Amino acid sequence: MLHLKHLEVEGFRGFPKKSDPFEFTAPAVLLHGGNHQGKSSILNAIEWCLYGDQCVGQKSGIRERVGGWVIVNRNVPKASVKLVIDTDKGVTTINRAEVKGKGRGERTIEVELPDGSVKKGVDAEKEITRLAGLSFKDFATTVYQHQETIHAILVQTPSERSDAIDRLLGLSDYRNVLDGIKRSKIADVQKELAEQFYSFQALVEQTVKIRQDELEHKKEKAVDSGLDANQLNEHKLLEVASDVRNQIGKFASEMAITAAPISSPANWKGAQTFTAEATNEIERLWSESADVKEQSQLNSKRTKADTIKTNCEQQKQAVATAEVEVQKFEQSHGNQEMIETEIRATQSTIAAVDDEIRQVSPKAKLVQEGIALLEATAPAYGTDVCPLCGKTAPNLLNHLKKEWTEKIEWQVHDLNTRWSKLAERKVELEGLKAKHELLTVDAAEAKEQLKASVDKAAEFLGKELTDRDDPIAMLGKEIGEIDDRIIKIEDAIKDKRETLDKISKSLNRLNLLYEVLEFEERISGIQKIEDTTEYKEQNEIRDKVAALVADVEKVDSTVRECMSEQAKNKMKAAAGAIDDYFQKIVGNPAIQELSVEIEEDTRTGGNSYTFRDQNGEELNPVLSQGDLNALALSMFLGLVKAYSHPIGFIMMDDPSQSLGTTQKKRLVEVMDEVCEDRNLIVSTMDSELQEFLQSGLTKAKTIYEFSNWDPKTGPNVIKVV
Amino acid sequence: MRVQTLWNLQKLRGKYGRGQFGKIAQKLLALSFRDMGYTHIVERSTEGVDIDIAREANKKFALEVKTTDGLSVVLSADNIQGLRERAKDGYLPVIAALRLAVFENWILAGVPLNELPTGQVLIDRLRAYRMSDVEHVLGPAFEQVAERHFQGTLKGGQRYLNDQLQQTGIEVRDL
Amino acid sequence: MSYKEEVRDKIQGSAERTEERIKLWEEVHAALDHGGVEQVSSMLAERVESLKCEFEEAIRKLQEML
Repeated sequence: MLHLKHLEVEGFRGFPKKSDPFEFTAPAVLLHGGNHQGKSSILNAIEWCLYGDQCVGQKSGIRERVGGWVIVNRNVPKASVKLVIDTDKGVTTINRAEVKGKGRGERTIEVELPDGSVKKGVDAEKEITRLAGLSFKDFATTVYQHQETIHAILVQTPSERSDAIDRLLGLSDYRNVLDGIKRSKIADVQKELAEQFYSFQALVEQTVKIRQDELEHKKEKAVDSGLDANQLNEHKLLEVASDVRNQIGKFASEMAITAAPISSPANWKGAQTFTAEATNEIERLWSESADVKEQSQLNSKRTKADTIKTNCEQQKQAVATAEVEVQKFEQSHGNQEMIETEIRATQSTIAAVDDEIRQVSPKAKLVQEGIALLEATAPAYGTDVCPLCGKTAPNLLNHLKKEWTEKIEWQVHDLNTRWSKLAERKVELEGLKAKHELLTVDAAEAKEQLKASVDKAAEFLGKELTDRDDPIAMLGKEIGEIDDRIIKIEDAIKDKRETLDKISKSLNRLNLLYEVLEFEERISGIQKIEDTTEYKEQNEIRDKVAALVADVEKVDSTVRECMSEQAKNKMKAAAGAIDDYFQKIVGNPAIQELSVEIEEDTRTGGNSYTFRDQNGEELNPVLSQGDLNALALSMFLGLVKAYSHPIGFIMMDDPSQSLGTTQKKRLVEVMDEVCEDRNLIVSTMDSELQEFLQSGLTKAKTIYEFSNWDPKTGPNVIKVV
Repeated sequence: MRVQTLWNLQKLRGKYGRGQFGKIAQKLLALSFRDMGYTHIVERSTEGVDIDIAREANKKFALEVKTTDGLSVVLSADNIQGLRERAKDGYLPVIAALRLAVFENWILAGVPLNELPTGQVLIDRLRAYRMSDVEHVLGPAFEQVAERHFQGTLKGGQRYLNDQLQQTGIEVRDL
Repeated sequence: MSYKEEVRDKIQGSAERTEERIKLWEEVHAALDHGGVEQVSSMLAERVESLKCEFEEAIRKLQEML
C-alpha cells in the first residue's frame, strides 16, 4: 500500500517560495486556515506529483481545470514538487518540475527508487503508475474528494448535478466524448445536405415543368403546320428532309440549273444544318434564274425612270410657277423698263421741287439740313457747335428749330409735303425694281434645273431631246412598257414561286419537328443527369455521410450504454456504504434507507440520478443543501469503501461546505471510521469542523495552520503536533 | 426513377390522397419483388409489417414501407415492434422508403434490430444501411411495374392492385 | 478495464460496420486525450465538413447541367 511520508513544494500554485517539508506520516493530517491560504495547493501538489499532466486541463475531467489552471506560480519561473512515499518495496522519492514557458513549458520527472536507482521521463512515469496502482480517474473518485464536486452537487441544476455525480463516479471521459460528439453536430450537416439536394430536386422539377410546357407549345405549332400529332418524331423529320431535298432537285431542273448537292441529315440533330444548306441552295437557284434576273433589272430600271420622271414633273412645275409670278408682277407694276423710267421721272420732279423751295426761302434748305445734321451729331459734338465751321454758338439747335418753326416752315410747308411724297415713291419704285430682278432670277434658275432633268431623261431614254419633245410623256410611256414586261415576267415565274413556297413550308415543318425533338431531348437530358459522375458522386457522399453519422451514433449509444452500466455498477457496489454514511451524517429519521435510480437523461445524454427513500419516494426535491452535501460526501466515502485500492490515504478538500453543526460532528465520526483503514488528509477553512476533527478523530494527528498568504512569499504555515 | 414514372405516381397520389397512395405504392412494390423473382411474398394492408419477401432460406426480409414528400419518414414504435416480431421468424428487418421526387428511388435499409430508429427519421439516415444490390434490381423493376399498372390503378385503385397481387400469387392479408 | 476498452469491446460485439466503428472510436478517444472535448468535436466536424464541400461542388456542377 502506498503511504505518503512528506512533501516539499516550491513555485507550485500558491507557494512561490520553497516550503518547509509537510509530514504525512500521522494517520490524520489537518490543513486548516482561511480561504486562499494555500491549503488546496498542498493537495494539488500531491495529485500533480503522482499524475502529472493527467490532472491538468480538459483531460482531468474536472471542469474548473479546463483552461487557466496554472501549475507554476505567476511570480516564479519554475514549479517543483518533491514527494516522498513509502510502499511495500521501500521509500521512493518523486521529483516533478515544470518551467514556465510557452504552452505548458518544459517538464521533468524523476523517481529515486529504494535501491538508489533513478528513473526519468517516460520510465519515471511508468514507475509511478506501477507504484500508485490506480488510474487518475479512480484516484479522483476514490482518493481525492475535490471541493468542486461537492460545490457542483450543491448549487447546480438537476441535470448539471447529474453531470457532477457522473464525474464523481469517474465517468468524465464518457461525458466528454458525448459532449464532443454532440458539439460536432454532424447529424445537422447530414440534414443540411439532404435539404440542399431537396432544393436541387425542386429546381429540376421546375425546369422539367417549364420545358414540358414549351414542348407542348411546340407540338401545338407543329400540328397547326399540318403535321400529325402522332408523327412528331425523328422518322417523320427525316421523311420531310428527304421531301425537301427532292423538291429542290425538281426546282433546279425546272430552272435548268444544276443543283448543288445537299446532304440528307443522318438523324434529327442534322436538321438545322440541312435547313441552312437547303435555304442557301434555294436562294442561289432563285437568284440564278434568267426571269428573276430580268425581273430584278426591270424593277431597278423602273425605279430609275420613275425618279427621273418625278424630277422633270417637279422642275416643270417650278418653272411655270416662277413665270406666273413674273407675269403677275409686271401686270401690277410694269416691266423692268417701265419701272426704271418712272424712277428717273420721279427723281427729276424731286429736283424741281427742291429748286422751288430755294426760291421761296433761300435759307430753308440750309436750316432744315442744319437741324438734321445737329440732331445726328449731337451725341458726339453737342448741339452748340456748328457742324460746318466748328465754331461754338450757344443753343444753336434750338435756335435753328425756332427759326424753322417761326419764320420758314409756313412758307415751304406745301412744297415740303410734295417733296416727301415724291421721295417715298422713289423708294417704292426702287423696291419694285429689286423684286422684279429677284423674280426674274428665280425663273431663270428653275429653267436651268428643268434643263438638267430633261438632260437626265434624254440620257435615260438614249436620245437627244429638243423643246419639241415632252420628256415627261416619253418617260411615262417608257415606264408603261417596263410595267408590261414585269407583269409578263411575274406570270412566267409564278409557278416557280409556288414551288418555292411549298419547299418553304416543308422546311418550316422540318424546323418545328426539330424543335419538338430538341425539347424532348432536353427533358430526357435532365433525366440523364442521374447517370452523370457528379450525380453518382453526390449520392456516394451522402452515403458516406450517412455511414459516418450511423457510426458516430453507434459510438455515442455505446458510450451511453457503458456509462450507464458503469454508473449502475459503481452505485450498486457502493450502495450499502453510501446509504450507511448518508444515514450517519444526516441522521434524518424520515430517511431510513437511501437508494439511487439511474436512467439515461435524453436531453443531456448523460445519466440521470434519482435518489429515493425507503418508500420509493423521490428525495431530490426535499433534500436540503446540508443533505446534498452529505450525499456527495457519502458517495465519495462509499466509493472509497467499495473499491479497495493500493493508496493508503484519502484527501478531502473543504468537505463541510453546507453541513450543520450536528452533521459536521457526525461526519467526523464517519471520518474516524474511515481513518481505521486509511490515512486521512483534510483541508478545511471551517474552524468548527477543525475543532471537531481535533477532538473527534481518535487517531494521531498532524495539524498545519495556514495564514497570512502573500503573493511573493506564499502562506505562513505552522505545524502543530 | 424516370420523370414520367414520378408524374404517374403523383397523379395516383393526387387522385387517391396520401393515405391510400402509401398502400398503392406498397402494393406496386410487392409486385416489383415478384418480378424480381421473390417466390414468397405476403402483403399486409393493416396489421404487422407491410411486406414479407423471401427467395431462399437465407434471403427473408420483412419490409416496413414508407412514402413521403419530405425529407423524413415516421417510424412508430408499432412499426419497430412489427419488425422485431418478424425477426423472430428469421426475417431481416428492412425499411423501404421512397421520397416522391425527381431522381428518387426506393431506399431499402437493412437496419439491424438494435439500431432501428423511431420517430421522425431523416431518409438520408437510412442510407447507412442500404441494400444496394437489391436496390439496383428493384429500381428498373418498379419502373416497369408502375408503368404497367398505372392505368389500371388510376381506374381501379387498391382493388385493382389486390387482384393483380393475387393473380401473381402474392398473398394479400387483411383485405 | 479502461473506458476505451470497454466501449471498444461493446462495439466489437455489434454486427454492423465493426471495423469502421472501432477505428472511429479509437480516433475519438485519441482526440479526447489529445485536445479534450473540442478536439473530439472538431475532428468529427472536419470529417463531415470535407464531405460537405465535395457534395456542394457536385451539386453546383449538377445545377450547371440544367
